[in-house]
Amino acid sequence: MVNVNVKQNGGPVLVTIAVGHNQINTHRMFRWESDLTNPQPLPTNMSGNYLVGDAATLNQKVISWEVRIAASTPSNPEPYSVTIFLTQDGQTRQIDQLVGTMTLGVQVNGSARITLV
Amino acid sequence: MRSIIIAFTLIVLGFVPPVFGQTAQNNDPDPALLDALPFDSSVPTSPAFTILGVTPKDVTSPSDAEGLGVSLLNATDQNGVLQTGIAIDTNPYLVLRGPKLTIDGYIKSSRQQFLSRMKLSVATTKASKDAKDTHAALGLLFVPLNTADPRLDPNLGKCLKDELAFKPTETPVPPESNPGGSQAVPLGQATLKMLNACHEDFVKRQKDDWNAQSWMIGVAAASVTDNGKVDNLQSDGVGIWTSYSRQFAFGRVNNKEPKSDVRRGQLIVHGRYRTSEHVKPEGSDTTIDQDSSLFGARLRIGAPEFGGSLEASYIHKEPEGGKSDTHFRVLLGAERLLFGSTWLEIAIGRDVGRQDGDDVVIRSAFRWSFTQSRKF
Repeated sequence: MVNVNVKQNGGPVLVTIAVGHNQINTHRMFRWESDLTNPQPLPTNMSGNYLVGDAATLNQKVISWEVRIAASTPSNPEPYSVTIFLTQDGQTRQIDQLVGTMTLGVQVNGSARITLV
Repeated sequence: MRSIIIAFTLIVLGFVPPVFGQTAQNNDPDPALLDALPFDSSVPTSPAFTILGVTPKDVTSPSDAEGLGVSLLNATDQNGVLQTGIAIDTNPYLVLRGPKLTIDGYIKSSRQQFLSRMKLSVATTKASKDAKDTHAALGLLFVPLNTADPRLDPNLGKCLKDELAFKPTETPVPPESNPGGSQAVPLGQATLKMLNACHEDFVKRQKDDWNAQSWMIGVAAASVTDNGKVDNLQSDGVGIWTSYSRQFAFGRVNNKEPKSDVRRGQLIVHGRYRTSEHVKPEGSDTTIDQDSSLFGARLRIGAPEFGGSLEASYIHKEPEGGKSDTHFRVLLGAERLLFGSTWLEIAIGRDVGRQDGDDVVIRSAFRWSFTQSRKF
């Protein structure tokens, strides 16, 4: 789990999952309580960004992501990458990235704990 | 079918005088002529190795996280001499921009497709530890057009995406409380099996695609240093290859006809140019440099009981200190199922305009045989 800081007085928080290397994928996100209970699926906006919620309500909340990726050819190992971006008040920053190779497909799981600053 | 066979037979009879037997030639015979059937219309996937004249036995493809494959090259050259060296095989665009390249962007952008299919190969070779001359080559492979690109197939994309989809009943993976970033875990065996089924279906559909097209371009430059020092590096020739192919169906084609019964065709247009290629003239032990070019086209047709190939090519060779040779080559091949799995195969070749001393000669070759498997 990675730690991310969010401005307490800032606007709503959005998260974007970018799967690179031209790979076919599907993904989902959840928001958890600070004690890692009560997972709630996060909705997406028209652009496919996940709506995490208003900043003031997110202290010590945990967000998690699950990404499934399929290789475009079945035989050779293919590179893949998953990058997680967090956006608040129009400012976007990368909070996590995983790059690797797969044969046929792979699932990438990750999470982040939010701290208000 | 009958009209095709008759037309083919007329061409055959007009092409060479009627002869009987296993092998017969007229004028100045050239038994090796038919060995050129079909001419090599492929663009090398690693042009750097091709221009060095080596046949790699052990080169890994890009398989690490950054899409960079570096390996020791273990290869033999055109004379069968073992060459060792280092080979790098990569796609610089994926290395530099990979994490930013999404599948949606790939589908929409022909520029992203072009750059993502590019391949760069770099190789250096040396004959032995004691040898001082070192060869190096840089090659690029471009694929501007490929209708068989799996990423552009909407059915494959939908199939893979459906198999990857999260079911509403699937419980979320609990977050790891340990510090650290994302982690990769293997997909379940059932999902992998279904993904593989999607790919198998794609391959099957590709075989039935009558309009598949592809266009490839390969270019490579070689250099050599005779003392192993970079400041003594000299050019050792350039090569460029290009090939376009298109499949099509002909004759009666309807949806009721089994796909295995469809008459198919493929047209390939190919060109290549090579400078300073090291060749051994016939009957000589010394190697000379030669520039050469080839432009050709091949038409292949195939039906359940008949197949054929017609090739025409323009060949120009310019050996250093020797006479240039320009000639046209036409090669014709056909096969017909006789009974069971026995096929009659006929091949005819003719070189026109070939230089032999000061004379221009025509060389022809004709061969027929029975085979147990089809060729075209």
